[in-house]
This record gives sequence, structure tokens and C-alpha cells, in this order.
Amino acid sequence: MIGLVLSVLLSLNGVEVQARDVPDDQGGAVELRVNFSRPLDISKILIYRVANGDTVSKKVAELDVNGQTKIKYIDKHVKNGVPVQYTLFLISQLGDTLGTVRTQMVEAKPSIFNKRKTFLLLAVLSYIALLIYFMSQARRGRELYLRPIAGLIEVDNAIGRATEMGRPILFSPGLSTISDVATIAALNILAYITRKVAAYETRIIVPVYDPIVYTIAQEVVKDAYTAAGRPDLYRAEDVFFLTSRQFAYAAGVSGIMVREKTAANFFMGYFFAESLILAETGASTGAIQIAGTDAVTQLPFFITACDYTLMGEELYAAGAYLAKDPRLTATIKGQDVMKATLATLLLLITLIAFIGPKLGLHINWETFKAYIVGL
Amino acid sequence: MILVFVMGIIGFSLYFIPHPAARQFENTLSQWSIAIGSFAIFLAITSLIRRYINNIKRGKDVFYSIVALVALFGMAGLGLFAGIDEKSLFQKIFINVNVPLDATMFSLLAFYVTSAAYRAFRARNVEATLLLVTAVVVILGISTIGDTQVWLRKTAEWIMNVPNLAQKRGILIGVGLGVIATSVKIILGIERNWMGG
Amino acid sequence: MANNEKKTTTFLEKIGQIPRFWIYLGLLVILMLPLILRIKAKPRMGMETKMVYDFIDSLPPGSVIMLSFTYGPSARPELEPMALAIMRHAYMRGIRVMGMTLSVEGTGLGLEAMTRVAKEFEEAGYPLTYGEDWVYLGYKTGWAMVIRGIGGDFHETFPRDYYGNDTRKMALTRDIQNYDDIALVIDFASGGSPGSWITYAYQQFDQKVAAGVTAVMGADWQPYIRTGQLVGMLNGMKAAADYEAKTIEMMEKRFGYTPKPYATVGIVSVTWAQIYLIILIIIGNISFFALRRRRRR
Repeated sequence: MIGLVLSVLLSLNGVEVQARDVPDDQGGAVELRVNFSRPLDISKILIYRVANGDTVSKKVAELDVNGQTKIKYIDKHVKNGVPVQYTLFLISQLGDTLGTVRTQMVEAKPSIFNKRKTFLLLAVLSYIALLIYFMSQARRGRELYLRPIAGLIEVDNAIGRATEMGRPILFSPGLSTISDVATIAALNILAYITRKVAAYETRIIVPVYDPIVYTIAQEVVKDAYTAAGRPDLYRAEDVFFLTSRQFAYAAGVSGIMVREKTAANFFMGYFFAESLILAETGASTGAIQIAGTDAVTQLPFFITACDYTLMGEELYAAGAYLAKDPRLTATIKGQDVMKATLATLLLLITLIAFIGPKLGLHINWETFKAYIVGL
Repeated sequence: MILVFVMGIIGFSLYFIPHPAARQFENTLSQWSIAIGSFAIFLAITSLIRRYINNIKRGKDVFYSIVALVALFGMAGLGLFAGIDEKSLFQKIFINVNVPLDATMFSLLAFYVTSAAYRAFRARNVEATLLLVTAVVVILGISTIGDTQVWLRKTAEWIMNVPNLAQKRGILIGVGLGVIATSVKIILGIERNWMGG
Repeated sequence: MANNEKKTTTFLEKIGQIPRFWIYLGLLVILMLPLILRIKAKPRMGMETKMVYDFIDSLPPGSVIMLSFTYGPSARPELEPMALAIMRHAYMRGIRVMGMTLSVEGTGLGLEAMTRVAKEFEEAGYPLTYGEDWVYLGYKTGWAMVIRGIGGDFHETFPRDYYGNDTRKMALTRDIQNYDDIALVIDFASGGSPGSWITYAYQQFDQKVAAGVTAVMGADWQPYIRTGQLVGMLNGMKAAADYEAKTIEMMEKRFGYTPKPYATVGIVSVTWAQIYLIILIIIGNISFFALRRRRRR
């Protein structure tokens, strides 16, 4: 809702005061703007607020002017829907009150839609439309080329290796919660690996960090065995909640890798500092290791200690890659197109930022940040 | 799937709606997820207990399984019946056993980083050499040696703030797009592996 | 000649394949020596650490800052010295401190850190009063809800402190309504909690936020300093040592009292370990090039 925008021309020469409802917020806030059109001997401004129907006004702020000509103050303690009026006392350097300015009634109101995020909404909707377009193209049978990702090609080899050696496979879905999309991507990969593992009659061990992820991982593994036609091979004790403490989890998984002598380790999902402990321990047992994470700070550790690493978005693409479902692989195409678009836009904006001022083009970056980025 | 679709659309919309009613609804959803999480903990602990009891029955890792069960029930019992305030036995065990153990595991990283770096940082080709030189400059620059050699610190800061940050942002943009794509697939019901089907 | 060549090559081969045991043993000795000998460093404050220092230094006496102890025992050696140093700085500037935590693990650790600094000031002859100079609010579940709740109504979010005292009655907290009354929030985190403080406290309430993080996570939060979403950042043990050295110097000058150093001793171990690592890398590369030359011949 658009609040009242009022402009009160100073009854005191050289001072202009505006009071308005702060737009695009959850309400409860009024913005006061004070402009000095000429230098005045004002050191402080005292702001008092009175609500409609009240007789006593309340001091809400004391602002130092410090030679500024434009002052902005946001009063965040206004009740929604209750008209309020502000009185500003202008205090001189010597402490005398030079004058007062009173605004008219203004009301704080909550907004239903944050207009500063319009561009962001349009951008996301365009991206979604792009994804849907590519999915529909794939449904029509259009072939889409995807570059090969070494880590994903090796998944089958790793499972085969474990089968030949007669040793189990370990899969860790990361240390994040189910609300993290990386965990969901990891569970998608788990489903694929479990179906393969069921076909080869190899054992898979899945120690889980989060209780909710545990309940879902259990269902994923059980249903994957059923889908592969081998529900008899499913062992409930192989998919278990280990602990919700980071380094206890690292210690537990390391112990499992050493005691069970796993032949293949998969670390998929979001990891923290324990990633190197897991990867190094697995490397010391001689297992083949494939990791995938969007935790940028952990990528160097996985790259150093694992045989193959899926970096960032490759983790999200993995589910589609392995499933070989055209609709899923089509979304990867959509991602690539969007990335190219964003890269082009970034380049253009950078060029404008550098060359613009020389050509007389001045961009208000604060407005850009507010309305394009939504900050 | 209908539930996923509806809640997905609602969750998406809430980001753009600043109204207090929307914020209140968001808080309610957070509280629901905390409540659901509490139920999940029971299931998770049951699976844990079942696993260790099965291990004991099969004679596999008996000692570790007994230690795990004793620790689980012991601490739970202490906390429930003897309190968890500052001077309680629960806190004493936490501070004197759990804290050093956690710190010990974290300390292993120092050793693992050393052996991994010794093994991995070989100048096999141009890229590996570049990686090696950069790593050495950054290691020295951000340490106290960088305090005495200002050029080293400035180079290290430049490396962290310019090329490193650029690649991080690049990866983050890719990850962000991947997250949106995966979320769309889940909301529209195209990606269903996580449901177990 | 042939025998000498064979011996040299064998030696070079060996130094390129040092067993882990010896690498770890060497590292252990290197790490322990400075701690045993209590060798202290005199570090110079880095840019990002100075941003936090300058901000706190600019706050008027009587201001209130909030510290969030969102770390566990594993990150304690890096993050606790930062927290101790910031509290010392704040108290010496007459700034009052509220402590809280969003993680269960941080509950005891936060209280211990705050109590330790209070004890230091008591030993220095400048006792602090609980409830006036510092308050510990303890753990509150809900993460984002708590952060948003402080911005809405502080007393509703924290009706009582860790000891059960009414926050509406304590001298420090009775006038705190929301973020308008809190000059700075500093989140000491080993995980992703600074993101939550930025998203909810900074974005929604314009609250000034700083972060104290482990060195591994530091790179994650650097973009936020450039955008102004973080006032500054203490990154790892180096930053902890920087700040600790400064505040120890301040306390020595003002009270003639020297608090026990942690990070300024620890950073020496870290530096020596880094040099050891570089030496190992150089040795490994010498071996690698020697072997490659032999193979080419």
C-alpha cells in the first residue's frame, strides 16, 4: 500500500521536511527527510512523535546535524494504521531552540508486495520459463548435448570395482539438513547408486548426520532396492543415523571406512571442515573416492584427496546426468543458457561502470542496488 | 506431490511479501519444522540403538557398541535426572570429555592438511606450478611473516580479494542457478528420487 | 660414478616419499615447541580486523553490543580469543556487552568466555557488575526467528537471562527494545550463522553486524565486507592474535595487568607449522624434478 507522501515547506526558512510511510516493508516505519537549503546554525534535531488521539508526545530521536545538509531518519516503532505526527525541534550550537517544524499526519502501512524485488521476481520467472521451454523441447525428442563429467562417468566403474573386490560402498549425504538443496541432490544420486548396487548385489552403507535426512534416506534406499527388484537385499541397519555432531560424525565415518574396508566412497552434499578428515581417511584405505559439494571452501580438500570431484552445480546436474531422463538433462541446458546471459550482463554492467562516466553516463548505483538487486 | 507444489509456491511467494501476516506465517512454518525435527530425532535414535544392539548380538564391534550405548543412555539420564546447569555432572563431562575430543578431531585437520599438501603440491605442469606458487604466497602472506614483509601481505590480500573472490562468485552463481533448477524440478514433481520413487 | 648416482637418486626418491608418521611427528614437535616455551608474537592488525576495532573504538561509552557465541569446542581455540579480546576492548571503552548463542554447544562456551573476562577485570582492580556491565542471555532455539524476534521485541524474545533474571528489570537490558538500542552484533561462528544475521538483522533492521570466523570459513564471508553488509571480520587465529595483542597492550598500560595470552602464542605455532609445510612442499618438488630428470635420461 502506498503511504501518504507529504511535503511540508518549512515554516522556518531554509529547512524542508518530508514525512512518509516507508514503502515495501512490513509496516511500522515512517521515514523523515530533512533538507537544509542553506547553511544554518543547527547542531541537533530533536524529534517528537504524537499518535492521533494522544495528548503527550514522545521523544523518538536526537540527531546530530554535523554540518550535513540532508538528514534521513527512519522511525521503526510506529503502529500500523495509526496516524502520527512529528514535531522537529531545531537546536543551535549554544543549545537554544531555533524553531520547530511540524509534519502533517502520516500513517505506517504494511506492503503486500516488495516492489524493490520486482526485477528479481521477473528474472527468476524468466529463468523458470526457460527451464520449462527446454523441458518441453526435450519431450519432443530434441537431442541436447551435455559435456561429459568425469566424476559421473566413473560412478559405475566405482560400483563395479567394489563388487569385484567384494567390499561395501560408503555413501555420505553431507552434513546439512533436508532444507538444503545440496542434500536433496545427494539423495537423488543415492537413489541411482542404490539401484545399481542392488543389481550387482553389493552392500551400501549410508551413515547420516541429520535425523530428518535419515528418515528420507531410509525410504530412498528401500524403494531403490524395491525398484531394482531386490527388496530382499535391503538391510535396515546399513542406513542409520550416526550423530549430529560434526567431528563425531567424521570420527564415526572414518571408523566405518577403516573397519569395513569400503572399496568406494561417495561424499555428496554439503560438508564443512571435516571434509578433509573423511577424504584423507578414505584415501589411506585405498578406496576410490568420488565427492560432490557446493561448499566452495571444501572443494580444494576434496580435489586433493579424492579421485573425482563434482564442483558446485555439477552436483545438481548429477541427478539428471545419471537418470538420463531428457526432461532432467534439459534443465542443465537451461542453466547453461542462463549462466551465459548473466555473464553477458555482468560484462555489460562492468563496461558501463568503467566507460560510462567518460561518456557522461552516470548510474545511480544505490538505486540499482535497491531495485535491480533488491537489497 | 500436491503438498510439495503448494508449499513450494507459498514458500517462493513469501520472499516477495513483506506483510506481517506473511512473516507470521513464515514463523509458524519454522515452528512446524522444529516440531517435525523433534519427531525425527526419536526415529533416528531408535535406529542408532537398534544398530548397536544388533552389532552386540552379532559379536561385531562389541566394545565400541557398548561404549556408544553407555554414553547415549548415561548422558541422557544424567541430563534428565541430575540437571544440566553450570555445576552439574552433565556439564563437567561435556566440558572435560566432549570438548577435548571435539578439539582433538579438529586438530587432526592440521596433520591431514600437511600430508595432503606434501603429496599434492607438485609442479607437474603450468597450472600446478601456478597453484603451488599462489599457495606459498598466500600461506606466508596471511601469517605473521606477512606483517614483516608488506609486499607479501599485499600480494596475498590481492590474491584473496580479486581472483579468489571472482572464482568464488562464479561458482556461487552456478550453484544458485542449480539450486533454482533443482527446486523447480522438485516443486513441479519432475524430480522424485528424494521421495523414494 | 654409477654407484654415487644411484645413492643420490635413492636419497632424492626417499625425500619425496617421506612416510606420514615422520611428517606428523615433525609437525607435532613444531606445534608444541612455541606452546611449551610460551613464545609470543607481536602481530600487526590486518585491514578487516581493524575495521571491527575502529568501529568498536568509535562507539560512545554506554553503548551496548551483542555477542553471539555460535561455535562448538572444535572452533574454540580460534574464536574464543577473539571474543575475549573484543570484550576487553568494549569494557575499557565503557561499552556494555550482552552475550547469547544460537547453538546448544555455544551455551557453556559463551558463559565461560564472558565469565573469564569479568574475572580478568576483577583481578585488574576494575570489577564489572553483572546486570549492568554484562549480561549473558544463554541459548535460544529458533535461529532466524530469534534474530528477527530481537528486531521486533527484545524482551519478548529474551524475557529472562541465563540465570533466570527478568530482562525488563536489569539495568543493562531494561532499555533495550530492539536493534535500535544495540550498536553492533558480532557473531562468532564456525558455520553459516553470519549469513542469517546478515539476512535478517542487517537486511530487515539495518543492524550493524560483524563476524568472527574460523580461517577456513573466512573466504566465504569476504564478499559481504565489500558490499557493506558486514562492518568487518576477524578471520582465524591471525585476527584473534592481532586483536588480543592490542587489547593486552591496552590493559597493561591502563591497569598494569596482563591477561593470559592465547592467540598470540597459538599464532606462533601456526606460523612455524606453515613454514614447515612450505619446506615439505619444496622438498617434495625437489624430489619430483630429480626423478623426472632421471626418467628423461
